[in-house]
This record gives sequence, C-alpha cells and structure tokens, in this order.
Amino acid sequence: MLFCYLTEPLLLVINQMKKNLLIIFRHPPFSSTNNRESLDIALACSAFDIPVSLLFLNDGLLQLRNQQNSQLLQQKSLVNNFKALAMYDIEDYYVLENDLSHYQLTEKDLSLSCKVINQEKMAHLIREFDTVINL
Amino acid sequence: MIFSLLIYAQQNGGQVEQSALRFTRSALAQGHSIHRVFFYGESVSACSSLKVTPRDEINITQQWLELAKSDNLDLVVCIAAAVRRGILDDSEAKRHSKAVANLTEGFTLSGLGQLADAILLSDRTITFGN
Repeated sequence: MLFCYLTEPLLLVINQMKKNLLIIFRHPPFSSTNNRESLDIALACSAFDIPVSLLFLNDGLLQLRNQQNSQLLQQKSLVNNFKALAMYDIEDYYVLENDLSHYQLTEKDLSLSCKVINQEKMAHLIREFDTVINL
Repeated sequence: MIFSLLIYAQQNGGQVEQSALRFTRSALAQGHSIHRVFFYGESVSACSSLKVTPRDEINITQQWLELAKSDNLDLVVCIAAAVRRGILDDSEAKRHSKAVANLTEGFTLSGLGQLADAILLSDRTITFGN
C-alpha cells in the first residue's frame, strides 16, 4: 500500500532499498518545529523500510531529557513520540559524551537508551550513512 | 547523477531558496537530473499564490515554475507542513472548510512518502536549510 508512490521498476526499487538514513537533531525541545518535523521524516522513511538512526547533537540532547513538563508551556511534548520509535524499528540513538558532560547529564537522565560516542566516532558514524538529514 | 532536494528554509526570501535554485540550474546544466524538489517546514510559503513579491526583488516562486516547465521538475510540497501554515489546494480547502485555496499551480501537495521515495531513488538527497 505504501509503495503505491513508487513508479519505477521494482528491480530498481529493491536495489535502492539498501540505503540508510541518519537524522541529526540539533535543537532543544519547544524552540522550533525542527525536531517534530525531523521526527516525522524518521517515521515516514521507516515506513518505506529505510533503516533510520538518530543522532542528538549539542542542544538536541535536551530533547531527550526526561521529566519535561510541557504542560507549563502549553505545548505538546515529543517525549512519548520518541519513546514510540522502537515500535517503528527505529532503535539506534546516538549522543555525544561531550554534550552529556556539558549539560551535566548522565544516560539515566535521558528518556531513550542511547549509545554514547565521542566526536571521532561521530565522524565515522556520519560517513556510514548514505543519506544524512540535518534540519 | 540523480539528485533530489529537500528545502527547509526558515526565512522567506532568504538565501536558502536562492542557493537551491542555483544548485538545480547548475546540476541540470551539467547533465544531471533532478528527481524531485521537496518543500518542507517554513519553505512551503514559497508556494502560496497569495504572496506578493516587491517589484525590485526576485520572485522565487516564479523562477521555480519556469524551471519546472523547462526541465519537467517535480515540485512537491509537504501536505502536513503546508496545511499547518495555511497553504491549501482545492481539496484541502474543501476538507477543512476554508473559503479559498492558495497553492500555486505547478506545485503538488503530497505526503512525506514522496521524500522517502526521493531518498530511495536518488543518488544524493541534498538539504537546503539553515
């Protein structure tokens, strides 16, 4: 059903299916629509069987902070949306150890279970992906 | 090489859309093909037919349309991003009981599946954002 958009020959489609996607989140929660719109891309691409991984960089780390009280701001929190990603087979999340120490956070303060990497590993990580989206 | 563009401008009339246009022209001139141009986020406002560009400024919408005509570009606007920002085609205007539709003819409202499809079928997907 989802593949009704695809008009090219099936062989080509199967060939291209190997592509993977990294989405980088750089914005703090409640500051803009970037994170929500990045999340929507993750869900849409996952529905097309594209393997999706997420990297939370700089202020983007704060998006994962648990115990956010979005009601104070009368805004919708994305925390539950991020927690639901596992149901869409999106299970690889990365954060930088530098960013954790910058905000004096530990992995326990995050609402997702993330892989903690350093900057050098991040450079390698980004190179592993066919497509990178960084809104 | 097959390219697709994801345009995510924060600011209407800023440099992002210009850069995307220039990239598209250059790529086509060098014999590459553009599978799709996908407008997302604030950049959907480029597709409003109610927008008035001051006479001494460049009309980006017009330039996209001319390029789309001459090179058969697929200009797709994210439907969720568009409706949220008041860009409606006829069927969305009807669905949400709005008096007017304002999507410029030549652009198509569609879902994020079109972006996923573009990622799969292009050699490179380039984001023009901030």
